[in-house]
Amino acid sequence: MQSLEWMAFDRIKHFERQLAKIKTSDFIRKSTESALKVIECAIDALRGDIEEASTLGDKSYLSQKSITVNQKLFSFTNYLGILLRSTNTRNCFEAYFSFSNIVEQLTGHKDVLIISSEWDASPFYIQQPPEVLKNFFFIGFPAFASRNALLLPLAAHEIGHAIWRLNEVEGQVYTTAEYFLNEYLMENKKISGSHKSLFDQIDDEEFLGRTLTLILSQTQEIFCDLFGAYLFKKSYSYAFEQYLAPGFGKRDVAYPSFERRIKYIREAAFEGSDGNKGLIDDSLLRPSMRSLSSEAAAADFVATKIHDSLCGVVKKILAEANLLEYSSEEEIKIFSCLKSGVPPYVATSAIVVLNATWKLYLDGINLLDDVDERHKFSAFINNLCMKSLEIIEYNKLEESI
Amino acid sequence: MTSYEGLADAAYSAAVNVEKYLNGKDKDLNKLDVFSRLLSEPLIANSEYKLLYDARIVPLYRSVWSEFKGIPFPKKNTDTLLSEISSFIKDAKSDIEKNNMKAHGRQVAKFCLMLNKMFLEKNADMYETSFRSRVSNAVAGVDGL
Repeated sequence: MQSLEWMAFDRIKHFERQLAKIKTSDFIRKSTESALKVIECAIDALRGDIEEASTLGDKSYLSQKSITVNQKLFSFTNYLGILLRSTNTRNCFEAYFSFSNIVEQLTGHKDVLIISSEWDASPFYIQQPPEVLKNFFFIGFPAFASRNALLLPLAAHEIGHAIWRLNEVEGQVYTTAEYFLNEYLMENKKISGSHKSLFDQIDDEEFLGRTLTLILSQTQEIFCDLFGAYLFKKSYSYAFEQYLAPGFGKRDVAYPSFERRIKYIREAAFEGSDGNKGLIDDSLLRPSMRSLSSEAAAADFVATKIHDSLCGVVKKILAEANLLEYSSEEEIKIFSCLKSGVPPYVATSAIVVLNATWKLYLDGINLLDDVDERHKFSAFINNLCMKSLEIIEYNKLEESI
Repeated sequence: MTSYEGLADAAYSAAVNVEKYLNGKDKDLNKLDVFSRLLSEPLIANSEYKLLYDARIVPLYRSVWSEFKGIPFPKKNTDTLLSEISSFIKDAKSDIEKNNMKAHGRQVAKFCLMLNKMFLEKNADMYETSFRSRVSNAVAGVDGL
């Protein structure tokens, strides 16, 4: 028979050995080092908790703490992988500095951004990182896209997920979500509106839980798309369509429909400018044929209602971080350099560089009929943009000396 | 909003704090206090009860409270349910300290441990949902970003 304490200690020890090896990786950034240190301390604390639990008379404490150890090790293992992959040279090191600065402007904290090259088709942000890592921003880029400059604006969506959590936007949205859900259920005659609590009016209380989960998930995705669009302007809209249009043929109801996402993104990204041009024709965006469950139908209704207020929330957050304003004059200057094939020495903003890059790409790509020529042009644009982003970092470092 | 992991950890710490206090190994109940304050973050602005009201876990609260009391708590009485739990937690510290109620203290520790278990299960659900969603999106090809 093995004791629960020994099993927990054994698992912790194996984990620590793996963590120690990752700490010796090449090309390890400060943010990765800090995150590893935080995990190391958390694991050490778990050992202390197990020792304490084994001294308490009631065995429930040891059992519950062992479950906690298993959960945390399971969760941390995922992050160890991300941290290991963040040291890989596949990552877009040219863009790291600019994105790290954006995160610093939003949070006031340095060295909290971790970008890794992942083997997952969608860029992702694990939405509920372990408590000890909650102040870090983890962004996983699909490996085949991690060095595609034109898709870099998509990282803003992932930053949006972290901002949603750190700014506790969900709490602010929750009350509004219940209000509109109440409205929807009354309109569809599922409740009478006679009681304050929705739970006291509906038989299936699991339905409320499932529906609210979908509503909050959809509103979070809308928030993140708006975040990306208001921060990166047109380049976010273009990157989104370039990577995802016309969708993948199946809708996940935890997200708004693809057509609705494109609509919201274009409206935000092109706000205040002439035209609202996407990359693809609207006629190519076909809604899913599948009928929606009652929960999904309710979630669609409520999330649509909340959209307008989310625009205000995003703009406020960006304005407070001095990230809402955009300089068209600077974009013209940057574009002029890029058009000559020269990385601009005066660039200070990755956002402006990426928008100017997209403009150059769209102006040029449509003039080329030959597919090979298009690929060469695309590769050239990519390298030019990466070099421009690198220069931003050099200039900033020069200023600081 | 505190994460379910954070709530689970706080609930466990509160339970251990009470247990050690009753055995004379802790001088105060500050971890119970911390947990009580965490649960008092109201999401609903003008609510009469101070509890972490989250519709996604009301059925879980009902289930845990029913198990703790030993009798099923009726549905369609959510306000009363959350009020009862809220008062129990809020009054726990003063009841144990001032009235020296050891038996009550053991009940408080037991309930905190039950909440720890509930939040751990919910945390595992969230992780599983997120993981399955990523795998499903990758395999089925879904426009997730």
